[in-house]
Amino acid sequence: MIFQLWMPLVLAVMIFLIGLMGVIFRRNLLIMMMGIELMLNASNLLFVTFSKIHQRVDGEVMSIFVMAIAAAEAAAGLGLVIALFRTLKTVNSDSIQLLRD
Amino acid sequence: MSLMNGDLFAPYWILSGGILVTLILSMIRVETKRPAQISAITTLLFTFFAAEGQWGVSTTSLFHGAIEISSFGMMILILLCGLGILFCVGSSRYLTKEGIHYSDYYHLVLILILGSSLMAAAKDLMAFFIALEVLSIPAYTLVGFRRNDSRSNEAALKYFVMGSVLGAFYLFGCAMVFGATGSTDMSAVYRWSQQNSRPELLFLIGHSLLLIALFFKVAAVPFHFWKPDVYEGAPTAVTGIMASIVTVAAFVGVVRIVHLVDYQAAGWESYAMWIKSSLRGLAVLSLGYGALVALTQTNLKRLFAYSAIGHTGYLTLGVLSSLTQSQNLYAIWVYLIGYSLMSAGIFILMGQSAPQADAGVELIDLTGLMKRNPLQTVVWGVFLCSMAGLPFTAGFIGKYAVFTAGIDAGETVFVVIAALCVVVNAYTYLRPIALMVMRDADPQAAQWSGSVASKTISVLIALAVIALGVLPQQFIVQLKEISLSH
Repeated sequence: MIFQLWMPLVLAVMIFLIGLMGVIFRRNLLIMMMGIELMLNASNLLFVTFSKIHQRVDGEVMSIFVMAIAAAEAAAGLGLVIALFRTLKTVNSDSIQLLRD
Repeated sequence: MSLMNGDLFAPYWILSGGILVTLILSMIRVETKRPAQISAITTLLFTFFAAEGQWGVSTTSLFHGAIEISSFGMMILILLCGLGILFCVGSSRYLTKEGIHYSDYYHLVLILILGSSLMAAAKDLMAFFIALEVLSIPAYTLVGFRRNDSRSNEAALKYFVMGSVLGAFYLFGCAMVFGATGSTDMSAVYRWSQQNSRPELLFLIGHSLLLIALFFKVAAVPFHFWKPDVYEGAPTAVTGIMASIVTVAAFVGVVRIVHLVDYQAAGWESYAMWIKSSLRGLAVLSLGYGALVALTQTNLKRLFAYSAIGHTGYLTLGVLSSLTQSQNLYAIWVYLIGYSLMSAGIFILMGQSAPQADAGVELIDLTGLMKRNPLQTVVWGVFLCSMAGLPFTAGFIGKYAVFTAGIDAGETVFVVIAALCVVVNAYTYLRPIALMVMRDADPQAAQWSGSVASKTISVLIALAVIALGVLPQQFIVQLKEISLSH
């Protein structure tokens, strides 16, 4: 099968949905963070593909920005997970239910 | 268009430089927090005056159109610097009481203000995303600032997971808009919408994802579920920052993203109808839900979280009326300025009123406050009346502006619904006043602890809220001149 430009688009949407499912259905906070990273990387793939379709480098530059931001966000998030683990001794999102009506 | 025009970007340079200085000061002097606090306040003052000096500047784009310097951006920067000064001065005693007075608070607040003000200045969807993340990452950290308290950690983590997922939604939408239009420049997308008479499906999905991400940030129902938990878990001073600075930034974002396309352009009529009906739905749901659930709350932070959802409803009504006539945007700014001032005041005061550390203020703590501290009761009263929208307060002027704009735009039915919600809200806000004035004093209840400076700040905000309510004319005239460029 010859490579065509719609293929990475479909792949990007699939990766995005897999990441979203990971955030919604998995209970481990670290796995949820992996899901978020998958969603961000799916957007990167979309940017790069559209960049190729439009014959412009904009999208490729965007994907580098996104990587930097994803790293910063992961750093902040892991810090929060560690702080939570110190107080509650768990990374399971089901057992974190102190705040509710 | 120029790559860099240092003079015009000066307010943001000053703010960025101040962040570095504050960060370094907070690292070398760990035993005292004073240097970082003073550095933060000085930075905000300098930025404030630099931005004030650029008021009325002609709209100029910098960095190849990624950033735009305009009166609108300067107005938001001035407002945010003012709010930042209030929080830096007004919350140090509260943080000491909670045992979380770290110097990092000050540079995190500065970074948050930089992100929020750049959101107003960004003219490129990617620059906007970076500003959004510069705002969000310090916000996650600040919400988890009571790091030995599991409730604070839980709130931070909930906010982080929801915020990141919606950040990814934004990014995916941004990539789709880029795919459909070939550019992430907002002006280019606007021009594309004028030339392209048929909205493409790719663009519609992308734009909807962007809108979902932004309406999550302002917590319009059905994207509101994080808000009460985050408001309750965060330290009170940070809840105030969320309610004022973050709300202003998020609504600026909503306005920018909603006005991404030209709804008057040929071929976009059905899309304009679809966006309008979604905004109507969001507004009615937020108004009704916020008004009704706030009635039953006993924890003041949760009460104000639900009332903030209601305020989101009024503001969404303002956004809706700006779709028909873009000069109606002034109503949103009037409402936002009044609302951000009174929520800053109410949360600074709440931090000073908490009976002991590690506890939020419950409604019952306010019982009989009038007998113990009349001045504090009056300040509480001013803020609560303003939240309820009683005349001669900033809250009234905001609601008046939004309702007038709504009637102008022909949304009379929704203005009537909003007016009914004002009546329901009035009960929520006047109940604490009744408790304070009519009941006998309870020795266990709220105190007024705080430095003279922070008490003065609360009184000054209350006076400002009344001043805006009594003399709104000049202020509204100024705001009417501000317009969004495309």
